[in-house]
Amino acid sequence: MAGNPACERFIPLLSPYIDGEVSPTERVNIERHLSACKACTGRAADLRAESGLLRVGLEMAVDEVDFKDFAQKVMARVTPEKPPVLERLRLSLSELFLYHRTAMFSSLATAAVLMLVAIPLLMGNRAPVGYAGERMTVQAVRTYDPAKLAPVVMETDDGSTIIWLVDQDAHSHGASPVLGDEADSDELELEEAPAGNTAPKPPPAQKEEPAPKGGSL
Amino acid sequence: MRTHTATVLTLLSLGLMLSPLAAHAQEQKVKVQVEVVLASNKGDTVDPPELAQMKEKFRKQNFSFTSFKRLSLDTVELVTAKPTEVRLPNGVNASLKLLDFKEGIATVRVEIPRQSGVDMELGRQGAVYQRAGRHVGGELILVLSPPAK
Repeated sequence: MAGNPACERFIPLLSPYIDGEVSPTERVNIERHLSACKACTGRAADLRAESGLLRVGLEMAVDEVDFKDFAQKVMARVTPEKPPVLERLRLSLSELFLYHRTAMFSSLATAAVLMLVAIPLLMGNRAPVGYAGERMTVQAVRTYDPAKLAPVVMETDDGSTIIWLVDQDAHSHGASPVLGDEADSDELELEEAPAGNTAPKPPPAQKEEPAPKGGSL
Repeated sequence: MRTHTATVLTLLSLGLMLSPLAAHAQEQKVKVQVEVVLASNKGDTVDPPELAQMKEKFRKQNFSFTSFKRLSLDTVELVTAKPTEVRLPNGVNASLKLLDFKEGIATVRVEIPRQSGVDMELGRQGAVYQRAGRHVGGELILVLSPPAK
């Protein structure tokens, strides 16, 4: 097939050489042989021409193919139907914990700590449960022995209320508060007092009593 | 295994977020600070010094007590339809009851046997001073106020 015995060694390497698939050392050897061998130079030229023709033919064939939406069509074949939402969520979470485990754990830990700190702070700034009203407001006062105890309701400057009982017998008899039962109770319904009214409300049946004096009532 | 861990952590996070809501849905409870003060004319002790404000309020209402001593200070929790009793130094048990809870405002009834019963709406400011009977030469005063934060 080849007159030159050296050609027998290089002929099988010509096609890989044309395609750029040989090592640099082999490439140097082949090019050295081609420079001295006209037959192999002709073979290499033929191979180049065949390769060029093949490439042109393939390019022409490729140009005839419509590659529009190629990726979508391929992906549609790869995942023909969407999994359910819960399944996708589970997959997303498992992938997050698989590939970003440290970030996920630190994020969760941070969120938990923030909540543990923020909730008590938020709850602390709010009014206690049951204290939506602006101030303590007395609605009704009852005494257990209206004949001997008279209620006096006083409002102070800061909205506080003093509820005092005047012993009607204290001066006349020097007696301590008299026993009474609930059946005799006398209920005093309070109307809304004007703000800043600090004057004691007059007790019923207590007109001759002076203003309350601590310890001498 | 990883899926289980993720599920547990997710549930824990949800639990943390929803726990305040669950607590709110439970039975209504109200906390009240209950203080018992002995006011008298023996000496001029004001103990603790914070009671100076109370002394001033009483002075402005023409009370002439010179001594104010705190005998107890507690925060009690009131629940609906179940009275809570507070033992006073004179042997009387004051009864506190949560009567109503509307629009965030609690109504509380305070009964002091042989003395008086008071219905009050709780609010963020002020206090209610209620005479609670005589004790060792002075007057016991029951003070109801919002719980300290």
